[in-house]
Amino acid sequence: METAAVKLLSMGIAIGLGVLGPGIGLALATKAIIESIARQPEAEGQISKYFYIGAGLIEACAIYALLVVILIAFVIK
Amino acid sequence: MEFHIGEHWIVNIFGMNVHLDTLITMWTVMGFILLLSLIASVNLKLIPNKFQAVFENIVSIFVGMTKSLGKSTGANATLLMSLFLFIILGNMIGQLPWKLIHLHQGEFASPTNDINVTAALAVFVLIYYIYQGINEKGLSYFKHYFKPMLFMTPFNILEDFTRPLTLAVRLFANILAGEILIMVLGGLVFMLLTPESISQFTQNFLHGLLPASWVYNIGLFLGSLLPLPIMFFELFVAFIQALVFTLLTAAYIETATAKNH
Repeated sequence: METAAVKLLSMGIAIGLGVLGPGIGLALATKAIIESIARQPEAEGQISKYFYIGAGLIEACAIYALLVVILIAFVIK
Repeated sequence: MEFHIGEHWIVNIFGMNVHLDTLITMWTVMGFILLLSLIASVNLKLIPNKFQAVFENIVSIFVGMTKSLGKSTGANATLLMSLFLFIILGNMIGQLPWKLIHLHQGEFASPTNDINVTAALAVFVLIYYIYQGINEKGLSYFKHYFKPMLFMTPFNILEDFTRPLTLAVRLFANILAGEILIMVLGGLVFMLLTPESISQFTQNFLHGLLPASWVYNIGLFLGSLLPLPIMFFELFVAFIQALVFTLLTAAYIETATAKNH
């Protein structure tokens, strides 16, 4: 295969598989926060504070995959 | 449409290659913070006016964060406060229309989209929490490398390398990804909207009711609004990433200065 084709293919595979894990993680976190708010609606402010920080940490994992894709696309010749 | 990612305006100053665009935006942020804090602290009153009250609130939030972080509360609060204010303003300054100023190489953007800035912050955090651990516990700080057993020593040493690495890459990659997203969405208009396709559209669907140049300009205007929601989301991301960086720093100092292990 040509180098350009391999680059395109690897970019697609990298971002697809890399987003899979953080997607599952965010889904689990959202499930947990909805369940806990339904159980204790008065603690919503306190719980959602930790959720936003956790979501930021989970999102970073997907961003790492995006970073690899950017490296493949623009840096590696 | 061509994209240039990670290009900087490289200038040689005293034999060092300096990213001057990052330097300028970084000093803009730092100058802004310094100026505001100088204005807030120059004429202190017992009954604060609104401006002083805002700054007192900010300081008291960060002093409250340092309750479990060992004995040097002042240094910890100062570090966390400077990190938070610098990172949040640095992330947000990229949303200003910097692209109106043309450079022949690279472009102005957030200072935190350069990995050199975030890596410097992260390495400083590493040095600082080791220093705080030694300050708190003396040389017995290094005993924690051999806890809970000797077998874990390589992993404990590895942790000191992965911590600054993840801190730096998380902040850098989040901001860079946001800017690329805005750039791609903004460039999408020019990719999809060409004068030929517009002239075909006006002839086939509008039957020449409107001139093609009008439709083209209206389409360009509507398309330029496309990255707007992402820009608002980036303001939220800027806050979250600054908070994550600060809270992780606080957590690292806490583990380094904890008494019982």
